Amino acid sequence: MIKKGCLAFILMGQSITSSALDLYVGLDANYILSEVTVDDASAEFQPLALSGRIGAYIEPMVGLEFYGMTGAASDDDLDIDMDLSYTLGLAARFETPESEGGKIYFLLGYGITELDMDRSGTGEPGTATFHDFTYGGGVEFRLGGSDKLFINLQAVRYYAKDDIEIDGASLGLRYRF
Amino acid sequence: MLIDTQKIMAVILLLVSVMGLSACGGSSGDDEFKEAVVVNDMKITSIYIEPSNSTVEVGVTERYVARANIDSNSSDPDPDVTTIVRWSSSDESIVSISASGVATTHADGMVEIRAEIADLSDFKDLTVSSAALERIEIKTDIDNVDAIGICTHSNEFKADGFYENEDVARNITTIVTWTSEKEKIAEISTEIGTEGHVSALLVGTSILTAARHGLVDTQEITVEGDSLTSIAITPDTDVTVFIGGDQQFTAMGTYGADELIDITQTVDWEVDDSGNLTVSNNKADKGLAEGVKAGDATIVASCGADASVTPAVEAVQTSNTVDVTVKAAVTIDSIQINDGASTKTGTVGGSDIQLTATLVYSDGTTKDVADDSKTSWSVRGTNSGETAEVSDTGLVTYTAVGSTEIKVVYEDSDDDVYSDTIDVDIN
Repeated sequence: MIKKGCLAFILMGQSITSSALDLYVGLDANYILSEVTVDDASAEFQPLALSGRIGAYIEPMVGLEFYGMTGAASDDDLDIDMDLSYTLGLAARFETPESEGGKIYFLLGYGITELDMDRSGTGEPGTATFHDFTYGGGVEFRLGGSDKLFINLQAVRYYAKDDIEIDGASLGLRYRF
Repeated sequence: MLIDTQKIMAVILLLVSVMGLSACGGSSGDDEFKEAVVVNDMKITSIYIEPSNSTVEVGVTERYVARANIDSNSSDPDPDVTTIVRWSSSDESIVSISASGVATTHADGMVEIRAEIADLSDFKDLTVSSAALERIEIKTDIDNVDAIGICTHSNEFKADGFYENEDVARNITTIVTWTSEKEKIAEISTEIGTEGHVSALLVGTSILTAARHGLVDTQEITVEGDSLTSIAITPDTDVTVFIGGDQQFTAMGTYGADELIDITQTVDWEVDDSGNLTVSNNKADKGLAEGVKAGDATIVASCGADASVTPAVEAVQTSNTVDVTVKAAVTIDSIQINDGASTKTGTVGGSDIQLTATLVYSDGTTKDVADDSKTSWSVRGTNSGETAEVSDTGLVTYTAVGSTEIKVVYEDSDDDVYSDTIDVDIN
């Protein structure tokens, strides 16, 4: 099953490069909500992050995008400091028809996230990586009647397994070439 | 519309790949994250492994206990963290250790047993030796083994093992075989965690034996009844048990002038009408009474009696008696606004209307819950005219003519929901 998935990604990449590309890029400010719960103990961290993405439409309302994110500000709880090191991923973007300058879109993909945790100034336990199926969606509006520039509000679940959840909400701009 | 085949393939392949790779989902380093949260949540500053044998035999188990030093502001010093630390052995072929700290020895040698959580750790060296056991010695801290108080149950005996070419005795309490010559008088525990603990059940004398590898040591003990001056069981007033419900009773023995010992586990529990109420004498739930049928019953505890011999041995002490009422469980039948009225009227310019909400129980009793925290009021809809408003305590306010349907909802502790509605007509 895993091999099939990896093979599919390779084939998909070939599919994109051999087609005429309708490209777009985006930049977002992210509010990350990470929750770690173990029995009665629970900690919530809300670090901030900046993300960028580049994508291409393969159909008028279907795009494929690569996204990356890096931490901008850490957060602490229970005397533990947490920062987002990075997030990298690939997602399919499905849009609804535009109505009055706005549209809804959904994201479905796969990504890897690294978090950095520092317990009470010890530097431990350090980093941990989480990779999983990601999904989310958002709303997007044309900015000032522009044909190319959009503003969007988005929410994505990056990871939710084994007592750890990583979610993100973002506000950003997208430029369609 | 023509669609590029390649594009369709791309989307299909993307979906397939996402489904395929979802099986790859996972993490590395997340256990350390979770441990850090646990450590800081519990305010643990360090951990330590409790003292244990430094040398043990091949083929036995050794239980380790890890405790935590807690920030001085905590009210729970040194909690047991045995099951939340990570246990490891430096050589699993010599000693393996389970997640609950139980080490099993496999071969001669020396290992380091380590307990870790987050960035905190402690370790103990453990030597496994197949040296021959030469002598066993039973030990106890009990002041006088010839006068052990009847019904006491934490009389601790230990076994030391003296091995070939070793200067220091090993604690072999958990690996010797314990027996009592007269179990009815003195019962000795072989259960994990309480090995060697003697319960004194009847007045008399018994001989305890610790045995291993063909070697034995014995200890004679005597159980006496004079020091137990009274038994008091609680709760002792206004005890009501619902049918199908239960009530745990506790027996406290007074020894000498004022030493109180919980002897719930060693007394004999009796009830005068087992048709209405039963009480358990099983180890797992001794003293637990259960309601069977509506009625009355009396419960009592005694110590030192033996009805299996002739003539029967009378109890050394008998407790106070406690009267218990067994009755059918009361449940909520319904909730009613204004005692079940369908309409309440008011007049424009008149006073606000206070609605009542009453729970009606299966035994016919009622309870006013209009401003209870589990009660919520709301406007369900407008029948006609202007809509009135209702507060969270059931107070209806209005300014114009109209008819409004008001709803009340009560959610009990079992999440069962009861509701009622009333039309408030303002003329």
